[in-house]
Amino acid sequence: MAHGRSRHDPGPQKRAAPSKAAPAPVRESAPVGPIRRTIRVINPRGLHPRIIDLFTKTAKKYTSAVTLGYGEMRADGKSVWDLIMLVVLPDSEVVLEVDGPDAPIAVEPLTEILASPGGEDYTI
Amino acid sequence: MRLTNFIVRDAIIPALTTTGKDINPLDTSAVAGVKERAIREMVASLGTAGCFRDGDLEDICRAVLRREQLGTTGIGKTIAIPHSRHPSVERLVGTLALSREGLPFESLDGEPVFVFILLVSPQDRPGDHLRALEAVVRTMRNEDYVRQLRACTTRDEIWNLLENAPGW
Repeated sequence: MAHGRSRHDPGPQKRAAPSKAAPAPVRESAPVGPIRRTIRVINPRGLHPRIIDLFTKTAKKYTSAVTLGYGEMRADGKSVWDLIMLVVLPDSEVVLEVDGPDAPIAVEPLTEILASPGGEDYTI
Repeated sequence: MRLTNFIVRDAIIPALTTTGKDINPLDTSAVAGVKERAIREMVASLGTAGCFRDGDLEDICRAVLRREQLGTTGIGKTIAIPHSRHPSVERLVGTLALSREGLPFESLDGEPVFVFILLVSPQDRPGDHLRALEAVVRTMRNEDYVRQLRACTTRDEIWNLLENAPGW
């Protein structure tokens, strides 16, 4: 049984459908090219495996390609092995590149992970 | 950095006694038990090789286990790198251990682990720690090399292969 909706209320799906005469909607999520951000890694342990694990798991939630650049090296942001091989030291800069249809929403959580001081147990 | 820069020859274990036989990989409690036994065996081997005092053994085991609880170090492709930092070591030390049957280790790819490299680092050398991890990954991404490593049956064979690792 439907609650709180009158017979004339078409519901969210029908309300959202554009009329035939309306112009094509602007897709705000469609990037023109890759989104790049330069981020300083302030974690005192650098880009260590726990951060890498979290980063790759987050990156895999999105269809966009994720690449991390460090100096002249570039690594697949969805590969733990690739990211370990970057050896990103504390207080250094990396370039995050996200390329794909969901790049605008992927870039924020990925940036946050790289820029986070951690708040973790640094003794282990 | 090369593996032989931090792996302690006398601590190498050609065949772990820890077994994972009859363990259901989905039984998290049983798998945790296997992980703990394997880690204790490797830390004890470093202790026997003189890498730290007997009094620090238990504390180091707990540190490595605590790190493991935060997320598996089984990085897939039959490899795991259990590790921790501990004030009792003045330099990065590690051991390499082989499991003949493979152990359930909650690896990223869900597969058993046959090659373990356990690292214990000083608290204040994050660069060395990261470079050691890189050396492990750079070496172990060569599947043919890992196959040769797994075929080794003695400490000397393993050490000889480590000294002649590809990529340098």
